[in-house]
Amino acid sequence: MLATDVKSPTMSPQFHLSSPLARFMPPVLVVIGSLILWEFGSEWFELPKYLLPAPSEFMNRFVTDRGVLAYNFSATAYVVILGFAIATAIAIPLGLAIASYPSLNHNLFPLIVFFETIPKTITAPLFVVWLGFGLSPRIALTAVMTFFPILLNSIAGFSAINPRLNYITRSMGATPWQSFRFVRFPSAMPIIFAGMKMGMVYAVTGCVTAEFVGANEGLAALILQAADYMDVQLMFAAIFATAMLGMLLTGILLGVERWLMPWRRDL
Amino acid sequence: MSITRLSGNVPQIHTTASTVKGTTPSLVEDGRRRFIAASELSKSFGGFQALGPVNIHIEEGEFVSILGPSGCGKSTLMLVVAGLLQPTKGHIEINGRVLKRSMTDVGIVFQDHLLLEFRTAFENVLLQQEIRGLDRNQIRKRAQELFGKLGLSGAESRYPRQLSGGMQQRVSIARALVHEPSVLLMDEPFGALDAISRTQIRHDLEALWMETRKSVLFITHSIEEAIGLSDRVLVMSNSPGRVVEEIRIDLPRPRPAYLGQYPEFAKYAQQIYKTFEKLGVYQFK
Repeated sequence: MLATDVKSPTMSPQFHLSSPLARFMPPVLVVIGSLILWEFGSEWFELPKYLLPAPSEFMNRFVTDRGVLAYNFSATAYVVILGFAIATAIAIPLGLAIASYPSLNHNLFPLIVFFETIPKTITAPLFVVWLGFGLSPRIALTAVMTFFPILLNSIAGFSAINPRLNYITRSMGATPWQSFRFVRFPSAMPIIFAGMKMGMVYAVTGCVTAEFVGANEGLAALILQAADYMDVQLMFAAIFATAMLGMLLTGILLGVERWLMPWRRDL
Repeated sequence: MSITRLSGNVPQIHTTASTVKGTTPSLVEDGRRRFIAASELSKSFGGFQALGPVNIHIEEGEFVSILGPSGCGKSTLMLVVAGLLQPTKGHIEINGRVLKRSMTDVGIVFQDHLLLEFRTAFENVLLQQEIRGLDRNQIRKRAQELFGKLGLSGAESRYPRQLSGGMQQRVSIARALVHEPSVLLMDEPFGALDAISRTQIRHDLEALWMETRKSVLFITHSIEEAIGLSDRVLVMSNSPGRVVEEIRIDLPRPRPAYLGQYPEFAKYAQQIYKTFEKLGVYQFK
């Protein structure tokens, strides 16, 4: 009964190098190489140090100024995480509702396109006028920036169900909740997560933009202060810290994705 | 059931009246129960008449194929029989009772495997248990058995995209059978497979069916598949599809991969080709 010819499985072609070391080594070498090039390049070409400090100089500030960097790092992180969480909590259910009711999709479409087209950063002063100089305008702008990629991907994700799959679940006598829990939600998850990863990058951008417009804390606020004193080294340190924050939060998101979606691990 | 009727005897072609339309469905014929009966069934979408009217029935434990050209409404017919589409006219009876909601004592296989990418092969089959709230251990045991019989041993913990097209479809068949439904509906289940896999999976399905004797409605456009698997083949016309011919296939089971060894196969096939030519499905010059 067994069919040996049919049974031989065609395994998914995977990107395999001999070991993890061999896989991670080249990109790490690229990073180290760029830093070395920067370090010695600025000496060779005699670039003015007060405009472009060498890595060793501003990296040093992570030690000497660790208190102020850590304080502003955590202030920015707090706003990014909160704004991201609020945006996600609204965008995913709204995406589900829009995907579920075609009339809602049809009627809301022009509105969504309109708001999506506005470059969100130009609304930053408005939030300051509305909400003052505290945390709230920063959280609001972060949430608004994060909102649209997650909303659009949620709509796409929840819409991308093969209708014949619904026939299968109906023939099992599935309740609407069961169809959602067992089929629709997990099917949409990879697409929603792609939107969340995009949203995380926007969240950091949104937060630092709001800090530029009006805030007394946060990495962008620190950069503005440092600029006033022509402290380019501190500016570079803060830019690096912002990049680290983005990478850290995206990394956490990737970890959650891997944990939630084991079937995509070797993609 | 009446496997003896099929084996041993010299196979003969029985053809009933060339048009089945108009026969009044009765609950019992030849002592076998008419398990599923559809009368004067038609379906239109908007102003477009996609199907019928057709009268079909499936006896308990009978393997019935619907053979027709593409676009004739045979897939629509299956969905209506499953209660997943409401007929425009007519109705379906199961065991003499009119079907009002979608059938649940059923397993369905489509041309695309429709497996959930986020579940392993085995978990895909267990979806039946989770949604229906069946006994977990019993279904696990049954699933394990089916995996063995369908040549899927060792594939349990693989995700669908790690399986070949043939194996994906085998998992789909296991999912349709694990809860032991009395009806199996298949809509061109081997349509996307290569010819070699098709022959093997056809053989495996027949063996499985001979063990379990479900009532099967098998939609296909392959003459060879229809004759190779069925007790009865219903030939449908171009759109809007009607059943124009009913052919009883009296070939012993299990039927071989190469059906050409039976002279009767050639006769059945020729009859179907002639019908298609008469209908204008084929236009040979």
